[in-house]
Amino acid sequence: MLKLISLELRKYRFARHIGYAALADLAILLFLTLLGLTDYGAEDYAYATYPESFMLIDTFVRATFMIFAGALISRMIVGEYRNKTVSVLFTYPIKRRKLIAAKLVIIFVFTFGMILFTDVLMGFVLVAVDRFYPFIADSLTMEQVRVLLLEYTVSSLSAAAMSLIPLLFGMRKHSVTATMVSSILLVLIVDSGFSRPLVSINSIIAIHLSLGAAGLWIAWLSMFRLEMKDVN
Amino acid sequence: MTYIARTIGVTKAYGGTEVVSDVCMNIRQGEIYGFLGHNGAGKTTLMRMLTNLVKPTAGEIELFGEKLTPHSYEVLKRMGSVIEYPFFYDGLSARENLDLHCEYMGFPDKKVIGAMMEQVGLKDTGRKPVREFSLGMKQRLGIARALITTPELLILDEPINGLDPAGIKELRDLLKRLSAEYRITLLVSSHILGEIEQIADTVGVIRGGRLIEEVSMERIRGQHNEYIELRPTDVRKAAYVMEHLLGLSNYKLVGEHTLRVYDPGVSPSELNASLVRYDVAIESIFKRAHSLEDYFMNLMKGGGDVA
Repeated sequence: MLKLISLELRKYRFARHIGYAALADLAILLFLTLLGLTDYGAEDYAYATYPESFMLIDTFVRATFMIFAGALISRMIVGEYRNKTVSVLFTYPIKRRKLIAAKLVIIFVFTFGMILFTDVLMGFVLVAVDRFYPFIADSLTMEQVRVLLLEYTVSSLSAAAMSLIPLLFGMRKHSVTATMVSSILLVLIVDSGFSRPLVSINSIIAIHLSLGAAGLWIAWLSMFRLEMKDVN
Repeated sequence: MTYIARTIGVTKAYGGTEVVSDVCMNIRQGEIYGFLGHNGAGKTTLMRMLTNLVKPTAGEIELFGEKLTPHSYEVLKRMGSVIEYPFFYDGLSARENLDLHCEYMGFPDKKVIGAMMEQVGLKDTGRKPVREFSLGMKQRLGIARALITTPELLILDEPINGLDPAGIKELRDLLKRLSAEYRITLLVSSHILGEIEQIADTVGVIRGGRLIEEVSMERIRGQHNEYIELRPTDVRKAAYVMEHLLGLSNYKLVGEHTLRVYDPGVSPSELNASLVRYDVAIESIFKRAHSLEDYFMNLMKGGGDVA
């Protein structure tokens, strides 16, 4: 499996995606900074408290990398069908399920890793900046940090899992557009729950976990019956 | 007789329409099997079924003596193929594509990559991505990719597409050499008879999804295919005279004014003399040999006027 993963990474010159991710991180940082500067002093200031600030960060980071995952699915899975290279790939003496699994593992791990990394990085920046130029009302306890790390991990895992949902729509007609549209819609649906007082934290978590489970289920299904399907 | 590949009553239907119907194909070890048919006759679908990309609706496929199932993977190691169009990871160079292919096939000997690129004339492509290759270059690279793991069965779908005349000649020589020196069994499809005729040991003709002929080239060449073509002024009378008075029954009307006589042992001059004796005027008469081209064209078109 590791061998297949490394072949996939070579095939798509995956290193460059890390460069793109770094660019995305810069964009997120810029956006979060602007939000902090322009809104300063407003009644519903986005960085009013630490918990709110961390949630804001997580929302943006998740949105960015879930769409990023959609692009990876388009390129590495849907693209393989569209460019018909799948008719070469599936004549290799390797189980088709494993070939697809290698791709899914890459997308999942990359999305999870990037979200968690960026969450922590931005959180760190936030805390550091607040040290020097205090703008957040409350202060941070070690206990909160521990809870936060756990929350970020769960959030990254569920986001990485649910970003596989677009596979279901993208693979219908092997369409890049359908993949991207469904991944953007997914982000809109999931992240619109943020900051709405009607939705409780618990229900958000429930939604995330069930969507994440759905994503994993879809990924799981996509690996089966591949041998029975025709490749045209 | 050892068969490398056999299809037994293989049928493929898409939504009720059969694109391949009840095909029984027998490819012997070491031969070049020419697969002839018009575009859309079902050649590519059959080849996809042989490589397990498409599953037959009915029938069975045997490769290397074993039944092909959806879960057959080991058998794929012994085959190489270029089907429909040479597809590549087109952001990568020729060498990178070949390298990846060897990795996926589990073929350890990377040294052959350079030699293979030289053999197909792509040695100087360097880091150029395959995206920028011409069709001819892709075709060569496709063949290189199919060959590099030294398969026992090589399946090539329309391999001469996009090649220039020199490239076609080279490919023909290469295929013959693979067959003669390495005993590789080849299945080569084409809609161009001339190509098949020059290299094949056995020819299978497919029309409308049915394999309507499978015959060795040797046998076709040996077949008696001569006939006399004549244009009498009165075709009906000529036919009557031939059938009832001269005892020649193996003839055929071609068009409105032309007759073809297939009976052996009749010379044009004798026939001319006999017909004139019965008062049938002849505008022209000559002897013709049926070319292979006629033979196959007729099969492919679905005409039956072959002796």
